[in-house]
Amino acid sequence: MADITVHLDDELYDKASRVARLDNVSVKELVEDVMRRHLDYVEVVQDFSKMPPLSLENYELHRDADESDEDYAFRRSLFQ
Amino acid sequence: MAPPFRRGDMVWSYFPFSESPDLPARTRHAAIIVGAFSAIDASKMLGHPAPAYGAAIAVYTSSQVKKFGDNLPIGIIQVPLDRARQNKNNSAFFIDTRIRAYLPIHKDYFPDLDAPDHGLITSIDPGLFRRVMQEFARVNERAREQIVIVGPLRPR
Repeated sequence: MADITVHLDDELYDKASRVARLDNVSVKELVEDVMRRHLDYVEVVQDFSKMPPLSLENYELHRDADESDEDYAFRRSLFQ
Repeated sequence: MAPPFRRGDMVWSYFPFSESPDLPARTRHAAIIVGAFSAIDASKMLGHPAPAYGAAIAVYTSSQVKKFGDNLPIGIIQVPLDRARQNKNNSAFFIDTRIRAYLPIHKDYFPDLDAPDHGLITSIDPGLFRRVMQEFARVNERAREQIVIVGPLRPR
């Protein structure tokens, strides 16, 4: 467990206090939660950045069961 | 695994803004799916498993129908109130086929993905979806410079 000191300006602290009260948590818990959520989010975004861009070379367009050959071919052509 | 979306599904999404094209928007937005995709040999390309449901291309919708006035740019489809109601929407809306999101089918971009209906608002009627495809094609042919593509899977 690491201990750090964070300085918040008065306006930010007031807002954080209000939100923390609504959520029934302390400002410290709120800051921890916001940081945890942001780090999770960054991890997810980085994960997607490893995926190849969407193209017909890398992905197969799903064909719906009720779609005709002609409609499917037309729709597929739009993504080339 | 087959993607949970079909062509023409109007679903809740965190459609990214062009200012931050990779990041999910903070508020939910209705989008229309024009294509759902499965990764080909995903694990080989990625070196790790791909998101289970693959990827989707969706187009933008908005209820701010007065935005364009009477002169609709190419790629825009106005959906008047009566037809909107037929498609389970309570207000008129427009579809902008110029604004396209290339998204992983993941709950970070589709907030209700884990719900039983996956965030489906409605499946738009076949006639309306046909118009979406026609306008999409018209934009590709005649107004490529107006296309805005967002999402982490957009071509780079």
